[in-house]
Amino acid sequence: MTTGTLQDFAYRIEDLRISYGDHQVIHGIDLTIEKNEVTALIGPSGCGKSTFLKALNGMVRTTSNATWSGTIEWNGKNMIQENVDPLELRQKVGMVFQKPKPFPKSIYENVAFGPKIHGVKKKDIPEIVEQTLRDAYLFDEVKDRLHESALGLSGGQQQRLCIARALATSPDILLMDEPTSALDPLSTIAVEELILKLKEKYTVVLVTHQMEQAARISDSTAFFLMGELIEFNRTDALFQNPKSQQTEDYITGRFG
Amino acid sequence: MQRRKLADKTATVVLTMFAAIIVIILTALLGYVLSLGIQQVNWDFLTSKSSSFRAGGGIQDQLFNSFYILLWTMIFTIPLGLAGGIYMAEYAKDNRITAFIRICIETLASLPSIVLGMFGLLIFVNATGMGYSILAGALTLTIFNLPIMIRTCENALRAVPLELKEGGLALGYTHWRTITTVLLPSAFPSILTGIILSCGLVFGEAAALLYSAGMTTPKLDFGNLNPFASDSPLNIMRPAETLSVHIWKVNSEGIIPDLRDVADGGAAVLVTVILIFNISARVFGSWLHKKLTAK
Repeated sequence: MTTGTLQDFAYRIEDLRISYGDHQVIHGIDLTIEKNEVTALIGPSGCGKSTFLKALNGMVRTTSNATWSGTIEWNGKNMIQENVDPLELRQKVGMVFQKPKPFPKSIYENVAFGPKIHGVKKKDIPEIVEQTLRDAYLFDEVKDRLHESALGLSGGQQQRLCIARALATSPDILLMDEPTSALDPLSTIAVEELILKLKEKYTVVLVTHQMEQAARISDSTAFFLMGELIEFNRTDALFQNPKSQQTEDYITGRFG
Repeated sequence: MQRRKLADKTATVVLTMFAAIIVIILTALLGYVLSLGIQQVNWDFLTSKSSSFRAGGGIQDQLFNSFYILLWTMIFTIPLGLAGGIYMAEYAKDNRITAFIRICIETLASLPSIVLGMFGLLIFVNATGMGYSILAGALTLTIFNLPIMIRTCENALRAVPLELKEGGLALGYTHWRTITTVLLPSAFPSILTGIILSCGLVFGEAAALLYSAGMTTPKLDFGNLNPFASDSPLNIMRPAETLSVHIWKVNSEGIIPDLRDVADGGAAVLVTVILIFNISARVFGSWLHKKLTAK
């Protein structure tokens, strides 16, 4: 790992542009994401917030033919210009998706999946699995059936298992793409409480289409519209005193 | 309103009728073949050699040949089909070359099997000089079966939810490792079902084998397991008449007095084996699916 100056941010993004073919979806975004905070990305559907999130672990380049330019500084490197090993990047930056989709394997296997490829010794894996499941506040609910299929869990438990799966490679950063949109209200509360606890150890970047969720659990909020960053501020300030008319229109429910 | 209800009812009745017709045809056919043949089938029939002139011959060698050619066909087809399916589902870009490959696969799938048999005769039997043999037959059947296998594997892989693939990639797995550790295990039940179903298809195929595996079987010594001996059943360079080819041959040019009985019995055995393949594909596939998804 390159040792740069000790950085007090998780990401520094400058003039980020992303296109799918001729269609540009991110139009020059500057944003700094602080460590050990929950940063929420909000905006109407199609505003580019999910694409932006997928750029932060390079997934946008892996799963589609997108092209990008600008700067995403992570861990002392600009991952757009310099060669960043996707294995290392994704060990340090975990990701949780919209739909809870555990692998069709046992609960234990799901959590052990990441550590296995990152060179963790076999004898250390059981301890990592237990600790990670505890971190995801799932261990007590599943400790008697670790070796049963993960698909037997409830939707909320499955999503917390997916969070555990992402935590098991001991990342610093967790990217979450609308992690509660497929969950019922009770499971949503459980996952939100978990996110609040996670920020002690992790930096969380959360895409959400629920403004209330951003207001409840995030420290900073970025408002995206048509691939541009309209406003970025501390969450209280952004919701109570939006500087931009567009932000105000969106958070007061006039569109979107 | 009244008319729409009527149309809905008519559609239901008509479609149910068509389904019923299919079931009736199948049961009638199976009933006919089995009722004629089942009385001929006994342990002796299954385990004695066929006879060229006298009555009372069995189908032992032919039955073995059918399974043995099936085995070699699958040894060739499964890796090729998997590789093709993985390529088409995961690596092929959406461009003209892929469209061309797709047309090739579809054309191959719609070629009459007798044409494939002639191809096998020209290429495997004659051009390579291997003669009528199990190997030539299995290679011909591989061409026959490959398009189905590629499509089965491709569809099975495409049916895996995208989130699972992304889940693997997001943990730092490479594309290839994601395919082997996430996609293939998830697609395995459908792939296995497809393989067993195509076993039934291959097992019953006759036309492609007439001029590739041949219509005769040398004297076999089932005690000789040296695969290079000419009288060993395991030798893949020997000609091998399969069960379906045998039924065709006995019926069309047989001179044994009990040829009807042998053909009927052979057909009953053939149909039963294919039925077992089809039913086990369903049972085994859904059992595996349940086991893997714990639902």
